[in-house]
Amino acid sequence: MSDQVTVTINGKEIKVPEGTLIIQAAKMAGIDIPHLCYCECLPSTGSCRVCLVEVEGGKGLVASCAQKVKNGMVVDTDTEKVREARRFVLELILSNHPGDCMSCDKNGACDLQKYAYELGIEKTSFSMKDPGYDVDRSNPFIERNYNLCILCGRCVRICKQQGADIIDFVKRGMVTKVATPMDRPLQESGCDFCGSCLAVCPVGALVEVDRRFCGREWEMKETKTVCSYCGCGCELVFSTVDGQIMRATGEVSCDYICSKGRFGWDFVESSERITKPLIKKDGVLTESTYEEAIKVVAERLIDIKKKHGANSIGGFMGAGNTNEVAYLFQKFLRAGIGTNNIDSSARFLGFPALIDLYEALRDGAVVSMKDVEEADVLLLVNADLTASYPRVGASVKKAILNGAKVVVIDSKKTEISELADLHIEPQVDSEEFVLSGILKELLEENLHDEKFTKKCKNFDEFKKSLDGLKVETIEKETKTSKDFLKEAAKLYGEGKKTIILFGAETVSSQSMGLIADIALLTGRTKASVLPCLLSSNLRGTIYMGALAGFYPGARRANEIGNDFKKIWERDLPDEMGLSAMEMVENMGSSVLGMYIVGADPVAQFPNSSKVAKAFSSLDFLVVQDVFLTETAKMADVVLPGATLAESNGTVVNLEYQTKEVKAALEPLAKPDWETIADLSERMDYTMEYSSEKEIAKEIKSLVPIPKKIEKNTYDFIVVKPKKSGEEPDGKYPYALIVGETSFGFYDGQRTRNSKLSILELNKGNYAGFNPEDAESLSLKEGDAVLISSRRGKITTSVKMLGSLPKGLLFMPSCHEERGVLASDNVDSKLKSPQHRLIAVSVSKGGASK
Amino acid sequence: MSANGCSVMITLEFLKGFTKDKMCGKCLPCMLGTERMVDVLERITKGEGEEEDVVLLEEISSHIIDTARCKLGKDAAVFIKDSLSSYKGEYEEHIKEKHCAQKSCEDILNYWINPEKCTSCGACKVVCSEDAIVGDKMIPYLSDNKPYYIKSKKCTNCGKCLAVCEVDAIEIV
Ligand code: SF4
Ligand code: SF4
Ligand code: SF4
Ligand code: SF4
Ligand code: SF4
Ligand code: SF4
Ligand code: FES
Repeated sequence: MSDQVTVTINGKEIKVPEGTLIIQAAKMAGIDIPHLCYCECLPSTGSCRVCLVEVEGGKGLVASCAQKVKNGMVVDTDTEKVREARRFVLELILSNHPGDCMSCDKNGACDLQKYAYELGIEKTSFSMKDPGYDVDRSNPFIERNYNLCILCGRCVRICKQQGADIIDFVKRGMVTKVATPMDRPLQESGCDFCGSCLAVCPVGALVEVDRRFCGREWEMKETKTVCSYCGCGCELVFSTVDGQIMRATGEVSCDYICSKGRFGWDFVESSERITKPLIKKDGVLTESTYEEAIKVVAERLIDIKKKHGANSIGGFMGAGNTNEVAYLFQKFLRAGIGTNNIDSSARFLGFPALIDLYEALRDGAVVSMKDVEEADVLLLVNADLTASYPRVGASVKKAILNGAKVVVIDSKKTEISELADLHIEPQVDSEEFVLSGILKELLEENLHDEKFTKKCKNFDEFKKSLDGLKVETIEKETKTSKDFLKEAAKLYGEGKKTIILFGAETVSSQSMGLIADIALLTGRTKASVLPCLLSSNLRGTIYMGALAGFYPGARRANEIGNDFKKIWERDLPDEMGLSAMEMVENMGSSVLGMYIVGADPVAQFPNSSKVAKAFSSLDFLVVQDVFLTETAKMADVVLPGATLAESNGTVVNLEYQTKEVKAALEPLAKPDWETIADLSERMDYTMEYSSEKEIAKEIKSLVPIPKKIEKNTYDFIVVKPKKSGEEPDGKYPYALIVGETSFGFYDGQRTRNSKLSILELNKGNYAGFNPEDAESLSLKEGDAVLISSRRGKITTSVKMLGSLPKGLLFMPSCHEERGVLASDNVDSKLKSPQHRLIAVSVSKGGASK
Repeated sequence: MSANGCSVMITLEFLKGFTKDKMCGKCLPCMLGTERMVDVLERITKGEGEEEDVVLLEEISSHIIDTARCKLGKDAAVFIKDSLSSYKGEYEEHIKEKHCAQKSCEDILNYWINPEKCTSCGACKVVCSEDAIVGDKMIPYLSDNKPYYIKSKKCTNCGKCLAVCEVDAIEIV
């Protein structure tokens, strides 16, 4: 607890914690001291001098944003002298500010304008100066007009703190200017387009291109909801004018949201959206009405069920719907149709292995962004944070600024690995050996928590299995010296507040086990492991039971008793239900009807040509989605889906926090839950809800809010490390991994329909090559290449990626044809693919796309 | 160029040196304020100063002393303020009379023919390519002899006449 001190501000006495800045203390006392360069989330620089105040007994004026309070301090924020000084600075700024508030978008929200008005400055007493810089309108996201810049430096500081650290002051004659290196446009300077700079700019120097001349500040309606992209689940505030989104911001201006959150929402307004139900007539999808479409779907499904039984029908959904939609969808299939054949994209994004991890660690696997920011050692395993889960990346950057040490295990370089204290670049697919090696080193260096491990029943067994693994084997498999593993173990072991972060869709279930072991071996069972999740409601989708084998509450299908039967008022199927790949396997034989919501299996599932064939053998396919996906194109009926920006409900983010989703726009389509409920009604299983709130109530009655369960006994997960991907060989000499990129997302469905896509070469349809590999294949950037795997081949463009090691190729997950190459081998128990590695061959040529 | 003792020029050069070498640009009043003062001083050395300029300089420098972030900026402003109060006359001379007694401020130097010395030989008028010199050769006993005289508006300070005048009648003032 910090000590309290008493200060008097404008005659008001107030107690504040020691170390509080004067400007903060004043705020607590309800006094707003004008400020331009100060920003709550950034280090003070005391540069604009607008916040000057008088301190009794002091010599001159002091900058209240840079000075901490002292006990007994008497501060005056509004004396003649203070006002004079403030006026002088503001007049100087205004005389260098050739702006016209009439046509400036910042009008009404501009700090300079506000303070000038408050001081009654009509005209500056200095002659006007116009820097005459060109306005940068070269990207469709951020307009930069440095003629209006007041050099407060907030953008520079926040870019350093959570952006790509690419802008700084440069001296231009007598005064300075904010610029990128060499004053290049942002898109050529490595900008993340997180827009953090824009969010903190106090004037109109940086504005969203989207809102230029589209609406004034005071006309905007604000709706707080959740970003529909990654699992970070950032809270977004949409500002709309006349039902059109003007901009997306964080709740507080300095909250980090990434390019996808800030600029990637425009897919919502895409002309490619499906707005009317479509029914296939003579092979052509034809516009129809909800009434007719629902009727057709109901009749066909009833027919299939009658002839072939309920288990001839299956459902599959994405992991980006609200809890309410996920719950209703699985309820419809389980109770309405009577099958447990329900699965979701979660199967491909880390589940159900993650359920085991949560059970093994409980609280240990519940970590907040704040925890990350306050950690002293972070261990990253296969987690390209800034591309895949950008908000976590921003928190790690903050932690680094706070002095945290970072160890990265990743075969390729990432934005964070460049900032890390140690980057282990093992042979691809050898992570399990690396993690085992770290466990061995922790033991050898005596960095384990003996008191804790004694309480774990199977410690001896665990240790024995580790002892059985030779260091030489580890070095051979990982092509990494054990010295690095020792260093990693030391850095991690000697930390106090350590967190292991990993990409849930990028590590094997075995690796997850080893990660849990590292936390347990060091006795770190509180907020120590953070699985980074790719999709906005991955956790909720599972928790609502949209995963074969699991009912709501992540209850195993064979252990549910009568709870669900009672509330759903139907007998429930005995079978565990087919997982996604099992459904595909059986399409045309035992699976004949499919209902897909918000997912594109035909493009996304591994070995997609085979998947497409399977889907074409179905008797009936209904797809409910926002865009006409590859799967939707094959459907008999297509129902319009709603985006998250048009939905109400809840989602659960990777911090395990339930967040409220609120519609910011009039939906272009019926809410997804209504469509599902309408269909169910037609099939004689009534699901009557007046709103999603009522669904939420039903969920609550069935699924108790996950309690913090104190765990007393922990068990190590005994793992025999192995490589599970395809080893490159003579015929397929290259290894290929699929991963996220900064401006693409998952299946690319949304980013492809957003302006963001212009920031990725070919909208993300490329393959990345190590420059040396490219040279040996005589490939240049942009060349067409033919890439083949055991499953199929695709033609795509070449992109040079210095971040890749030799022999490794990279393909963005948003690549339209990424499914063609991947192997559909699944783990026999988890029923999900456990490998990232695809062996491929490369040849020059083929028609470029 | 050396300032040669002209207080205005010394101040200007001091400020320019300050912005080049010392000023960090980290606080607005110092950065923008010195830029302004340089503007004003440059104006004065060009003979374009206005009477309010001294007040303006006084104001800016005292405000910088109050508001600047560090001692460097404050010290620079103190220097200006001292110069203003110690050499007020010189500033006023530059502004009101457009005259630099120390002959440092090139832009307000005037070529002037001293009638006491001039012998009316006419050599300067011949070499002046700007037709800036008017006057007629002296004709004895005539009462309306036109004396030689340099029209400062036309004169470019090229100095050619200076070189040809044998009696050093052309002076820079
Ligand atoms: S930035 Fe502010 S002060 Fe400048 S023109 Fe815009 S609204 Fe007016
Ligand atoms: S958008 Fe982000 S990365 Fe780009 S300049 Fe602004 S703060 Fe920096
Ligand atoms: S661009 Fe905006 S935030 Fe950046 S220095 Fe200028 S006024 Fe400040
Ligand atoms: S970090 Fe994830 S949730 Fe946050 S804005 Fe970006 S994509 Fe959206
Ligand atoms: S006063 Fe100091 S901090 Fe401010 S610009 Fe001048 S030299 Fe820099
Ligand atoms: S050259 Fe000298 S002396 Fe001759 S007219 Fe000119 S000023 Fe007079
Ligand atoms: S807000 Fe304190 S100096 Fe700018």
